[in-house]
This record gives sequence, C-alpha cells and structure tokens, in this order.
Amino acid sequence: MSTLLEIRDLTVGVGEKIILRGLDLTINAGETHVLMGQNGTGKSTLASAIMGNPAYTVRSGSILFEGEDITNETADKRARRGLFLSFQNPEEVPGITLENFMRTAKSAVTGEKPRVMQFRKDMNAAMDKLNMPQGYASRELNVGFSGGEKKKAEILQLLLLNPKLAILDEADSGLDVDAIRIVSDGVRRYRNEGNALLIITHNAKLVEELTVDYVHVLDQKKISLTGSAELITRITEGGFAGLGDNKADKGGASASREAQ
Amino acid sequence: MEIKLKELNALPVRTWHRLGVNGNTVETSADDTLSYSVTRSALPDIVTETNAEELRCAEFRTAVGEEATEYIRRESNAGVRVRARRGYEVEKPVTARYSLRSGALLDDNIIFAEAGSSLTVVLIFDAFNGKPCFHGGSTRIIAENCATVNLIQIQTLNNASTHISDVSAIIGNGASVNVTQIELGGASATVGCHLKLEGNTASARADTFYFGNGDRRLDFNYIARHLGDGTTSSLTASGALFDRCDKTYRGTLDFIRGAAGSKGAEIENTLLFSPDARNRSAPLILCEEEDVEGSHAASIGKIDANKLYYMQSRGLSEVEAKRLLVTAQLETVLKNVPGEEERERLRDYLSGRIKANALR
Ligand SMILES: Nc1ncnc2c1ncn2[C@@H]1O[C@H](COP(=O)(O)OP(=O)(O)OP(=O)(O)O)[C@@H](O)[C@H]1O
Ligand SMILES: [Mg+2]
Repeated sequence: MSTLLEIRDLTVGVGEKIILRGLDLTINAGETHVLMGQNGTGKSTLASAIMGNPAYTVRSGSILFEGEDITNETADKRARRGLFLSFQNPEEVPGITLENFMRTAKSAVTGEKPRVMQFRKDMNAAMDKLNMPQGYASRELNVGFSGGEKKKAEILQLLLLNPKLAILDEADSGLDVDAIRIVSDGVRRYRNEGNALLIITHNAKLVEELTVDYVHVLDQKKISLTGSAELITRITEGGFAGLGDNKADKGGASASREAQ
Repeated sequence: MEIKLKELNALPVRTWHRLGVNGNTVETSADDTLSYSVTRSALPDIVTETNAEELRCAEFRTAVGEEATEYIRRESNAGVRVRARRGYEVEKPVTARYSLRSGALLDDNIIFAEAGSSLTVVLIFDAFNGKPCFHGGSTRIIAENCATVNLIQIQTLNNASTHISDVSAIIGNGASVNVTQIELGGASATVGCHLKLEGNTASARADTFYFGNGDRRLDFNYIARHLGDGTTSSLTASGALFDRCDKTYRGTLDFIRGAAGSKGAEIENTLLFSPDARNRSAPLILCEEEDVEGSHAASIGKIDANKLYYMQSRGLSEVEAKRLLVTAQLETVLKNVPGEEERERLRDYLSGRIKANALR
C-alpha cells in the first residue's frame, strides 16, 4: 500500500488568523476518507492548503505527496502530480468554454495534446454518465451554471482528469436526490485500487454507496477524532455534540501514523 | 522622411480633457525608400476596380482625423479599390497582404458595394524584419441599400513600426457593415472607425482585438453615428495589456435627431496583466433623439486571483491560464476572419508572444 498524501503537523493561516494548527493526516492509495466537522472549522481551508491555494499560508509543518514535499509548490504543479480538488464554490471563468478548458487541462496534466475527436468522445461519454446535456461543453466555464450544474461539472472534470487523489469539498451540496445518486455513481466509477478520495461532506447520502475506510472529525483546528464508517451515522443522528466523550479514543489513520 | 501628424483620434465632443483622451500625436520617421511585397487575390468578374471619382458626392467623416487621412490619400502609394456589382454576392474575399521591409506604405482603399451586393475585403499588414516602418491607411466604404460589407484588418507589424488606420463607412437602407480589426503589433497603433448609419435599419459592427506588450501605444476611436430610423450598432473591443503598454479607447454612440428606434451597444473587455500598463477609456453616448437605446458595458481588470487559482488547480500554469484567457478573446474575432491558414497564423503569433513575454 503506497502512501499518497502525508500531512505532518500542519499549521495554516489566512492573514493574521490561524485556522488549522498541528494537523496530521495520512491517505494511502486505495483508501476513501471522509472529513466532517461543523461549519467554519476549517475543512475547506485544509482542502485549499493541500491543493496550494496561495490565499492560505502554511505557517509550519509539511505536505508530502508520494513521498515528495509539495508544501511550497504552486497549485498547477500539484495538479500535474495527480491532485484534484472539487471546489465547494467553483469559479466562473467567462470567455473559455468548458470543452476548451478541459482539453487544455487534460493536456497540462498528461503532458500530451489529446486528439480532438477522441477527447470529444470521452467528454461526451462522461457527460452522458452524469446526465449533463452535451450543450454544456460549449458553454463558458461555469458561467451561469446553477449550483448543482457547477458541482456536476466538477465531477466531470474529476472523471476526465483521473487524478491519483481527489478531494471533494461538499460535492453534494445543492444537488437534488437524483443528482446525488448520479454524482455518487460517478465518484464510485472513478475510485480504484491505485487512487484515493478525501470527501468533505455534511451528509451521509453521497458516501452511502461507497466503501469508507476512515472518517475524520475536524474540531479545534485539528483532526480531533478518527473512526470507521459508523461514525458518519453517529454524527448524522446525534450531531457533533454527541461525540463529546469519545474524542479521546482516536483510531484509524491518525493513530496508525502515531504508532509509526 | 519625417512624419508628424497631430490631433489624431479626437473625440467628437471635447469633454474629457482631464483624462488625457483627446487626440494624440504621432511623430516618427521612416526610410525614404518604400520596400514591401504584396500578395493580392485576383478579382472575381463581378468586382471591378473603382476610384475616388466615384465617391465624389459621398460625405465621409473621419475618425482618425482630417489631417492624417488627407495626408494618406494625397501621398498614397497603394490601395485596394473595388466595387461589387448590384445584387451580386461575392463569396471569395478580396485579399491584400502587405509585408513591409522599409519606408512608408500609404494605402487608400475604397470598398463600394452596390445595392444588394455583398463583399468581404481582408487587409493584412505584416513586417519582414525589425526595421521601423510606417503604415498609414484610409479605407472608405459605401454600402448601398441592402448591401453587406465585411472588412477585416489585421496588423502584425514589428515592434518598431507605426500604424495608423482610418475606416469610414456610409451605410444605406437595410445595409450592414462589419469591421473586424486585429491589432497585434507595432510600436504605436492609432485606429479609428467612423460608421455612419444613414439609411433606415442600417446596421454596423466593429469587433476589435488588441494585444499590448512592451511599450506599445494603442489608441482607438470608434464612432457610430445613427441617422436613420431603427439603426443598430455594436462596438466591441477586447484585448490584453502587458508590461508598460498604454491603451486609450474612445467609443461614441451618436444618436442624431430622427434616428428613432435605434440601438447602440459598446462593450469593452480588457485583461490587465501588468501594474505598469495604462488603460484609459472614454465611452460616450450622445442623444439628440429620445427614442433610442445606448449601452456601455466594461469589464476591465486584473485577472482575478481566485479564477487563476481555479485554473491552476486543473494543471494549467499561470502562463497557460493567461494564454487561454487571451486566446479565448482572440477566438471571438477570429470567427470573422476567412481562411484557416490565416487564423492559425494569428493563433501562433499570439501564443508565441505570450510565451516569450512570460520568459522575460
Ligand atoms: N480567506 C479567508 N479570509 C478570512 N477568513 C477565512 C478565509 N477562509 C476561511 N476563513 C475562516 O476560516 C474558518 C474556516 O473556514 P472554512 O471555509 O475552511 O470552513 P469549513 O469547515 O469548510 O466550513 P463549511 O462547512 O461551512 O464549508 C472560518 O471561520 C472562515 O471564516
Ligand atoms: Mg467548506
């Protein structure tokens, strides 16, 4: 089992404010991790730090991808290594069509120009699976897309770029019940033994059909609790408050890291 | 030879003194001997040569300015002067591609589309080498009733050269004139376009793309003068500014009394890639007539950090992201350019410039 992502003692701030302090997380190939936590605890900040958003500063600690330190790398270099983030709030980019953007991105991550016809075929096939009308390919990237359409477009990009580690930041928010099932199917199709997922969510729905290996809770600027899939049910039924006493019994990935 | 031309691209109304957008001055010198090559497409049978005599009673207005256009016409040493016969739709574009080596090329162009005809003219100004050249062009267009004229002007002169271009059109009942200008080179480019919508339901478009890098000075003056009933105009200028480029854009929608039901729209999209680039804009809407709609929309700005990060998160480097944004703007005007070969040349030219710019 090879380690894809290893975060050591990470402290992240924006401006003067510290949002994450001393956070550890290890994700191996073949694993699906779920990250939960109350609003504003720093889940998206963690995703931003992993992807390399320059708005967030790593104050100390390190981020390793496949054993190499990427803490100071720009986002595009990380993407070319095989990291992907499905944004909680995808940006609208006027002037560039979804298809043109995807073709450019594909050639950036693979290092070779995809053949136009083949690429279009792959893109159409992926759009069909996500139940996205093909007209969206020629629309400007995310411009005027509804909330749910933006999320689907993110998953479309996931399927086409086929990264080693995909972080999904609330990929399910704003989706109707059918769309959640479609997206969840798409995510399941993406997952294989060689890649991994970090899913940030407030809902059990998206991950119901997936085999979840670890569930982490973010609280007090770090991962305060790690458990197995049943933790999702406990949280969705009893809320974060109900976890209170159990916060001490850490398990799973963080624990195994500490044992190293 | 020394060339000095003053009061270029003046606004129709002088209210913008403080912004420094009133006319500019071009002062330059060029070799006394003009050296260039030109490739011209053969004229189809239904297109004949014409001359200024045939324009006698037409009242053209200039956007660049009287002094400059008179100089260009008086000293003219080249030009495409064509007339499309009544009712004929000329499919093949009339093309002239100039490659300048030295000196001053002054072309006096006339495009005359008789009633119901349609004609496309492509003028390309390129340079052989790095020697400073001067190009001054005047293009007069008449689109008689229900005629269509498409003019595509492409400028890829070297960074030492000076370019001045005046386009003036008179547009009849139900006729339309579409001007596409692609300004990618030159030390200085002064481009003006006066579209006179004389006939009822006449329509005009001016689609411009510019690329500014180094110390290039770009100076634009677009005027749509609405005279007829129910006329429409659209002036769109998109482009990117790098380095210390200095750009001034003037766009005037002038609705004359009687132009009832007319509509005009001005759109500016400027991508600013350098804090040292200078971008000035003077949109102006003049209404003598009440029953008109004039609009101006501008998106002028630095590329948004969040958008850039989003694009980077999909593997695009900063340069690739910028190149994609700028070439997307170019694509919108390339739709008007006939010939895949020329479109490829322009894509390559622009990509090359952006990459070279990133390496410096
Ligand atoms: N760019 C920023 N500037 C200022 N504060 C920020 C910035 N980004 C995040 N924060 C703050 O950091 C904290 C964590 O935000 P973050 O978006 O990571 O939370 P989250 O766990 O993803 O919440 P949610 O579940 O609502 O998506 C919040 O208090 C937020 O206001
Ligand atoms: Mg969030």
